[in-house]
Amino acid sequence: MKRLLLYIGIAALAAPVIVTAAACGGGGGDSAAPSPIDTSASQEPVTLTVWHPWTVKSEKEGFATAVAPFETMYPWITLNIVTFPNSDEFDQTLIKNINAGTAPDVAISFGPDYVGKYAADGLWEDLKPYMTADDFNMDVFAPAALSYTSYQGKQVALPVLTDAYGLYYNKTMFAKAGLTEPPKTMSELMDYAKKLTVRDANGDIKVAGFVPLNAFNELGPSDLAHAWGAKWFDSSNKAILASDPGWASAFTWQKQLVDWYGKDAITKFYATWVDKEWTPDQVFETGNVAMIWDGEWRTKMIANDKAAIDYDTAPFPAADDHPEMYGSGRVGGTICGIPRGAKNPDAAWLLVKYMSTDTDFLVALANMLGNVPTTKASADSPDLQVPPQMTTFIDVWNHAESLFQPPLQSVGATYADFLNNYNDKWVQGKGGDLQVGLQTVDQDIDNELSMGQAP
Amino acid sequence: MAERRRARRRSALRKYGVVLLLLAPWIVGFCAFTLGPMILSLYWSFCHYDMVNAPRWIGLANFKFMFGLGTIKGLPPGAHDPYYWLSVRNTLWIIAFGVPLRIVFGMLTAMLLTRPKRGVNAYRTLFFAPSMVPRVATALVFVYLLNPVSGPINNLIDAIPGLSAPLWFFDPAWAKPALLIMGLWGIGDAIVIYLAGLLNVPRDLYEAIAIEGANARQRFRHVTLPLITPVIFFTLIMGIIDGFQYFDQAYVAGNAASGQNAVLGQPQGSLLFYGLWLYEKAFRSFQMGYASAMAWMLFLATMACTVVLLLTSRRWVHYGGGNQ
Amino acid sequence: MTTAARPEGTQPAGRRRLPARVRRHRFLGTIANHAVLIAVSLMFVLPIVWIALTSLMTEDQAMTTDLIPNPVMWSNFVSVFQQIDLWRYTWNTVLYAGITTIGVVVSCVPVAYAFSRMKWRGRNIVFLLVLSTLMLPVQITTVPLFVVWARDLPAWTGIQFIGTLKPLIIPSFFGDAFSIFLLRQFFMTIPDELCDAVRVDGGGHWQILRRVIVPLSMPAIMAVALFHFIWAWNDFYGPLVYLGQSPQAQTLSLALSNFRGMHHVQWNLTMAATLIFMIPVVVIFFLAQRVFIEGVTLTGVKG
Repeated sequence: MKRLLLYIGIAALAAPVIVTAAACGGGGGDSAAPSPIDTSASQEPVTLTVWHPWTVKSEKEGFATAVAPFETMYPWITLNIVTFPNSDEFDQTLIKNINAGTAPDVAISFGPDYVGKYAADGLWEDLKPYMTADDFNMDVFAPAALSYTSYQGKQVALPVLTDAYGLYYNKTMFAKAGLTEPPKTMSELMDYAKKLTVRDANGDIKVAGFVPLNAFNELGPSDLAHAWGAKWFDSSNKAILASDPGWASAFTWQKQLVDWYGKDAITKFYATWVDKEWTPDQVFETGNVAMIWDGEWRTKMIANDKAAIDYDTAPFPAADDHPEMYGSGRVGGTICGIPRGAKNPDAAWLLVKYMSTDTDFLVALANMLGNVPTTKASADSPDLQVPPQMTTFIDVWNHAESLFQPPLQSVGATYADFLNNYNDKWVQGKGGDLQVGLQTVDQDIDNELSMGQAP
Repeated sequence: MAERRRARRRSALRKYGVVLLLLAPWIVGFCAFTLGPMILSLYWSFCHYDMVNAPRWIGLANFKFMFGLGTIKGLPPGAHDPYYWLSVRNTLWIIAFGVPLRIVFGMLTAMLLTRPKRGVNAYRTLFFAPSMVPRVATALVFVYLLNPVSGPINNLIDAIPGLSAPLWFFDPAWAKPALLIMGLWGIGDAIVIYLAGLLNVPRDLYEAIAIEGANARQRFRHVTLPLITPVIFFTLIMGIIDGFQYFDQAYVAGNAASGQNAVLGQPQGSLLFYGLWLYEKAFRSFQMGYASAMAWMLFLATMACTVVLLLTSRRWVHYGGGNQ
Repeated sequence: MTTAARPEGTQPAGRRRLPARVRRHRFLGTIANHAVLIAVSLMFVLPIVWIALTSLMTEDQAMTTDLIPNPVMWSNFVSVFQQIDLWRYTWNTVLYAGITTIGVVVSCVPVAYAFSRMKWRGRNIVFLLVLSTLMLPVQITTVPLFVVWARDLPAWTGIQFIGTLKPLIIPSFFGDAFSIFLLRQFFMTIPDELCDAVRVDGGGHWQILRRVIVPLSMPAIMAVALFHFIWAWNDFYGPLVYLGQSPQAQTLSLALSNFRGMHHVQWNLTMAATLIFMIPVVVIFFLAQRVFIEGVTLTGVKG
């Protein structure tokens, strides 16, 4: 009797072990070789599922309107457009679905952080065969496009408009301080920042000249370092934050300005404004900061919000000893691609091509979102209705030194947090010796990349 | 004789059969949803697994990376996870401060509730209700209330001359204390348990010691305290177990307060608790092997704490209605 | 016990009127006690008051230090439903909480019965095993379970699990340690005579359960059901892991944490949504508070 119980017990315990051992399988699924669709011949009706992250109602509708002509162009294709509620975890969610086999045909992501992972793990299809078959060339975009849509030779994504970053400055405040031109070097930036800062009776900052803190309105330490032409990795993909002098210079510049403000004062200023970045009460739009780093969409927001400021844009300053960097900046933004396991990859390619290059679509979307048009045709289009201050960003997009930061890696973009966290500590004076600190960040990044490598 | 033995065996067999049948749901669930996954995660903790490719055996590498011991192939000696110990420290911090706070304030409030003759139920309900509120909601509420510039709490503090209000969730030194404040709002369930425990102390013990001329403090030390040690012990263990798994509030607060999205544990990793870092590793970086290793360490730590507490409880927890 | 006849003219012990000084002392003590309790109550209530006020503000005013909404935006409670699919999320949450509650009650009653009303070898050891699962960190099973639900089960069965409520609901039908514990404690207090009576009538365990145990344990079963319902309503981690994928299947806790405009938090609407999320819980609690409090007491004091 007891033995019977024993057997039952063993069976009960063994069963899950056997079952779970069988569960230790890897993902699979290969995709058929792409076959270009002969668009002249009649086709079987196809429904393409498209995921996009535009949750704001007006943008959701705008996208649907802009993409509608696609269905007219290819009448046998119906689009099933799905809005994704949480754009923060869009890519992680997409990866989970790809592994579960429920991926859409086309995915549109706000940012290319995971493109490295998509390429290295084969999660998004390599578009090169489609491009070859269709005579499609990446030259239609600026060279910067490659920095965030292709990884280790695999072109897994195409840009859908793009973002570009530069300097916004308040002309009224400049005029009052007797300044006529935007700063072109980092020392000018620091000078102007000090001149344009206004404090109130308590010594708190009322109007800041320029806030150099990480995460203040899109700014990151790598954007500052870009002014010195600093690079993240060397040719063997090892982090060089400690050895590339640009990083130390940028960090030092940043801390000088923070210390001039007083770190408590500037932190308080940060806390006051950080929540309002996407509201009409944004710090620049309300005239509380003289110069700010921001993306091109701010021009549209200023126009929509009818902000009462007289402003202009210019490329972000370059380091005094790196004039070749002037006119460049961080670029990169929305991308689209075909996830592995897409049910209709050939039709999906048509949509991807359309969304990245069709002039009417790009112009309509640019007019709605205020993003940078990525092709020459769309940028020169007479239908483009963007504020004049947008030209700066189109130029930044086309500049040879512009690129996407942080560089694509197969583990995704979380490794950049090591730098950001150290930067936060550094400006508060808790970063210790700069070289040692940067070396530690280098090691942590290298370890993270090694630990995350696919076999 | 043999007849009776066989009959007895048959009835015993039947009884065990019934027991098995009654327990079947739990047994199946335990194997499928607890034991099986535990075995899997134990296996994965020795592998590199990213959910895309098959798990690859790497021996102790995950643990070496966690603790910075030994050498891992392909990495410099002493390579370690920079945030692991941070997450451990943060978690221990919230347990070390949160649990005693809960016990002390819960007990004090419960003691206040033993005195009045009327209205106890109303107070008790009022205190208990917030502990039923979803943790996500609580976190959002307090992120808003503790906003350094527009939040009402800071406005109250700033109104007092001489005090300058901290930046709460925007300041790494004050983010965890802000969580403690949030936690105090939810001690209602502890208050209810303590109140029941306090009311359970037999009155004749109080009368007996009053006859001997004891004052309030002696009454507390010799009668109340020993007899409520079981409830304190219960809340202590549950508090520690929950503390190890602290997640919801930190996830929401670390996300909503600062302007950055999709970065956990802000500001400056001050809210990076063990559960959050594990979640990041498992579901954002898709390093399932390392995350499994972390989960097992968490389990071992929880078990160790529980066992130690259980063993030492004999010294200070008084069960039953023993007289002093 | 017989009460002795009391001599005339004396009062029963304890009914003597206390001297005025002591009475006044006690009275002041009571006032002080109540004052402190009221202060504490205020601290518990104020947050709710504040967020209720905020939920009636415009978005801009919510970010100021004003306390009184002006204008009073009752429409916020409507906008919240327009901004996100709140009805669907509420329905999902109701489904999740409701079905899992049924599952827990149905599966835990027999198990608790076996641990309390039947004597068998190894009973205590297995019960300890059940209890020990209470201290398992949820993360140790979540990671593998997620992979199995996401990849392996669909491969075997062809059914999708991730992005639906299934991975959350199915395990609830297989017992829950906390509920088993609560029910077992209660079942143990049922007198043996009642069960014996059924046995004498020729009934088996099923009859005992049906006619004696379950009817008598309704308070405990209600407590288990209510506790679990509220736990599931508030659950965040489970939905976060399994439901992040699908916009349709999300529950309120998940939707609330995602509640943002394009990039920022709209505090007035968020507070309105938070209130909507909290209210059912508080209402249920007020209606059934005695059940709750007794349940909590049962675990904490007699545990």
